[in-house]
Amino acid sequence: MPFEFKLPDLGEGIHEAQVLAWKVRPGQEIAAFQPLCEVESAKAAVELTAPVAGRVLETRFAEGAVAQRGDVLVVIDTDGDGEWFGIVGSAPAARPKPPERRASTNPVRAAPFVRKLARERGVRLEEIAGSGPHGRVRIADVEAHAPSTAAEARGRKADVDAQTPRPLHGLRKSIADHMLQAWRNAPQVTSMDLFDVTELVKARELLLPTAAAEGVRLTYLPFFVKAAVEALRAVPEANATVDDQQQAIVLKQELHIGVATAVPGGLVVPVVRHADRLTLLEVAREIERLVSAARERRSTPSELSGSTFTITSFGGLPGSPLFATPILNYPEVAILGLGRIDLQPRVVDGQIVPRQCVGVSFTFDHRVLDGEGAGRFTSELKRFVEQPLELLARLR
Amino acid sequence: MVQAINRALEQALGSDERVIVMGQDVGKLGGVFRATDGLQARFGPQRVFDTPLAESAIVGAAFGMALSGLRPVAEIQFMGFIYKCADQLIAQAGQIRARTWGKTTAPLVVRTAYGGGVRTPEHHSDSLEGLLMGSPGVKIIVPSTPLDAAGLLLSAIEDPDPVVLMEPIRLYRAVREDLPDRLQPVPLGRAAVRRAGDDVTLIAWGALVPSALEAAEQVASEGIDVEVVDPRTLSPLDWDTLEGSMNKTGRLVVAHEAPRTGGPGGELVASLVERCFYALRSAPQRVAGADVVYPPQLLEDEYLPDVDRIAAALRASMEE
Amino acid sequence: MAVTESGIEQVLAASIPSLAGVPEPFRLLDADGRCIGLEPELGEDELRAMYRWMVFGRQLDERGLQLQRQGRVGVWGPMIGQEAAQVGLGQAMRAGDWIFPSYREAITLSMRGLELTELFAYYRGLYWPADPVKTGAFPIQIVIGDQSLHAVGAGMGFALQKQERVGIASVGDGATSEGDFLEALNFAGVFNAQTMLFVQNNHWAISVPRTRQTKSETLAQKGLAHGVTGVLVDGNDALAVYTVSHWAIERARRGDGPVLVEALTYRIGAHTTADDPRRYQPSDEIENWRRRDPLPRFRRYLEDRGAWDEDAEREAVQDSLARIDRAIAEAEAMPIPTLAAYIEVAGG
Repeated sequence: MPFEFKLPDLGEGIHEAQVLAWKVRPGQEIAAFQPLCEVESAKAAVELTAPVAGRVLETRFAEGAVAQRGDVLVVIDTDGDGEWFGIVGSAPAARPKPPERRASTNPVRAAPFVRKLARERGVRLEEIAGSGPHGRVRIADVEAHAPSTAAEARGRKADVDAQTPRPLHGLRKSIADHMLQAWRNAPQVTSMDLFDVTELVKARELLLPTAAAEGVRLTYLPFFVKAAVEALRAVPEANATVDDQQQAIVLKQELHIGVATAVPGGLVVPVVRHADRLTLLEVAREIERLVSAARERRSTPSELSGSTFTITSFGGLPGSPLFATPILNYPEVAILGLGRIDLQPRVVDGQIVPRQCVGVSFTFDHRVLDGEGAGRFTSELKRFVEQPLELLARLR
Repeated sequence: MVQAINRALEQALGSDERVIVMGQDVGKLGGVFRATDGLQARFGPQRVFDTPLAESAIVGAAFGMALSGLRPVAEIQFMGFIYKCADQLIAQAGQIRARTWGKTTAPLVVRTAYGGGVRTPEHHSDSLEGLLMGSPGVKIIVPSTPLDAAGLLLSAIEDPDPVVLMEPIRLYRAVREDLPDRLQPVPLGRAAVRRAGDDVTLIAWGALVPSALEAAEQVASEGIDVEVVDPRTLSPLDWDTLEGSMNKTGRLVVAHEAPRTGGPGGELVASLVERCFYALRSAPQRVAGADVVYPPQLLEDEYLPDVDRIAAALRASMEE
Repeated sequence: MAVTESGIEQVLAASIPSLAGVPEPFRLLDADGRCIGLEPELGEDELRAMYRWMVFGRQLDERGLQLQRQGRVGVWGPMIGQEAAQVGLGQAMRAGDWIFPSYREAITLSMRGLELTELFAYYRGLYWPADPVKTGAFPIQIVIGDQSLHAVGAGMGFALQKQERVGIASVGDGATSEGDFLEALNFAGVFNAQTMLFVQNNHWAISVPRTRQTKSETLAQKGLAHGVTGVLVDGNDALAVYTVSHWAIERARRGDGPVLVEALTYRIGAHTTADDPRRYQPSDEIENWRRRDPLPRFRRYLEDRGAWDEDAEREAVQDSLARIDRAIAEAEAMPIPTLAAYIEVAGG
């Protein structure tokens, strides 16, 4: 097979050389490494030798002529297949022309996500008026133009929910931790009863004008707060916290009543401090203040701590249950849960009559209170709730 | 953090007799930041020793020692001096694996102090991770907590290739954590999500992690929920975590002390844009040092990315 | 009593460190190959082996040049004239010693376990397919002088692990100006490294002559500044190079301290095949050194002992060529890995 010996790179980028003299003739038998010719490059005159043995078939480039790197200098007939292991190849193939750059025809400004969204909705961005700076199209613009169907949205949301676990953080996490702690540490029992609040309803009605005149919104909660204060006075063991470290019950002197409040993202418990020293209307006003601060996430740390007893009201929530099993506001030993107020059939003087009633759920820490103490508490509470005038007897 | 590094070195020296600690002032003095305090007294001057003042020799000799079977932990006192040993680190130790087709590697660690905000003289606060990120063959780790400093260092010592541990000077004594009796290695190439969030991905490392977290809290009250990702290893980067975050939030802010142009932020932004293009909701932001030689001490605070600049970038990234 | 300007030097003299005198290159063979000193304890077989390596080196160099001219290797660095320096060093090394070369030590590397095929693979452009730790022959160094530090580090490592091995760096005269070389000397001294630094002073660093490389009278004395013993040797006297290298390596091995050996030799050929030495290398100087060719000198020493003759010479040349050609063929038959395969092993 004929072997073509090409002019190699004679050293670090030399690309041409002049043939000075040939040392072989066509027809001559040669051995490997036998001198073939002498060439001169920009750097030096060098002798080129044969990479293979064989018979010289032809020499190209006469003495004095200039060859480029990669040009065939001599063809040698060999026994081999003509392949050789040179690492310096011929001149590089012509580079293909780069494709024409298409001029961009889309002047609409939109972030990649927005474009993707538009594509998915089958909307052309050019048709949407962008509300962003410089007419930029925003997600909301695409949404407005082509809202997703509820099913699509549900599906997307489900996808997102399914794919992205949402870690607990912020308020949700602290609620979670708090509930878990109460659940783990305190054996909790809930006793439930219906209280007849016919009289309470009347009393509140009568007081509404007075409250309005003082700019106070009067709900049932302030009444329950004052009733709870009386019941706690009668059963001080219910106004306490448990110290797990010391394994002790700490009876509290003060009466700071926590009022569980629903806020965006969860639940917080602002505290009505010294509820025993406040009038009914003062309690009402304080509750209003604390709740609105809590809802706007403006509560100060001191407003959210220090309670000795907590009331949680779930009657107004969707579904308005009558009863529930509220979890202790740990480390307090008791919590009062208030369900919905509505007409219930009651037996009065042997007759079944509709009466305004409230579901009352009282959860207590059974390490501290037994059924006896819990019962005493709820009876006291019942007295002041069902007969609000009894509060007058306690007035100082 | 500096104590955590000390504990990690102590643990490594105690459990692997191939480990040695070398550098200027690391022996008797215990290091100019006391990172190697007490180690020479405990393990002897053969294993923990001072070298002459010659950065290229420190790394070049460490390379030779690593070839001979040891696990050297060499110190280059300040990252600004790493230029002096860049050849031995990058062209020699960093290339031996490739040159020998994987048959020979250089298991050495170069510890170096970096970063500003501590009123050092010239050349002592340079952040040169960009230089190294562009040099294949060298791994880079940068902790932001004591546990990570210890854990990453332990992993680096076990690693068969050269690893540069960048120790943020500003955090040496500013961050504290309780350490367990037995320190655990933290794997290289795994980022840590320091704060989970849904609205914008904020990537920061070293001394800027606390600033990033503070900025995130600042804008939280404005309703911006920031996810702070600490890469911990800058080479190789944990693309899984970074991509996952970027795909979730669609917005990106990168904060680093090194100058902006040619800086590490460029690589992060470019790669994440490539990988998560269709999730992008706004233009990525970089909060970085200006394109200028590190400024004199008195101007340092103005130069360094701080909580306010990061918060501003977070807000800007929320603009649609 | 005030000291005058001219008198100050006398007064200062005691405070100025200086050499006792310019060292003489150590020599065991005269120009005609007659032994003029203590003969080393080498048997006839070892002496013949040394000369065969020199013949091999000469043939290898010729072939290497031609391979480059044929486009079969990318570049070749001629070694002609430096055979004695390489062989003397190679003969003095023991199994387990490591050599960190520059790029003009092909003979030494071959003597120490590098397969010629692997060397040709390097020159074809495949990096280093051999295993350095297994062979003890570390890859060619392109960044001048860096390998000095590696040899010192290895020597420090051997000492620490109580291994009786020596790390040897072979550098050229140009390398002795590099910071890394000087830092290596300093470290070697401070740490008493089991290291020998071997300088093949062939008088040229591409086109820069040795006299421009440093104002020092010799390169060997550079060790003095760092508290390291230096020795000057006639690099074209294979016997002397062996004796000095052996002494230096064993000293280092015993833990008696590192040694800097300067072997005086000459680069008869060009720096590499990309160089044109006619532009700077005086031809009379080349001729002068050609007359001091290390091969005939050592051959005459052997012939005087009756240990060599024409037949042996012919056989040595033929064996060398056969070996070389076989290695070339093997190297050219080596499969070329894909880039993907490279990235996978290089990635780490």
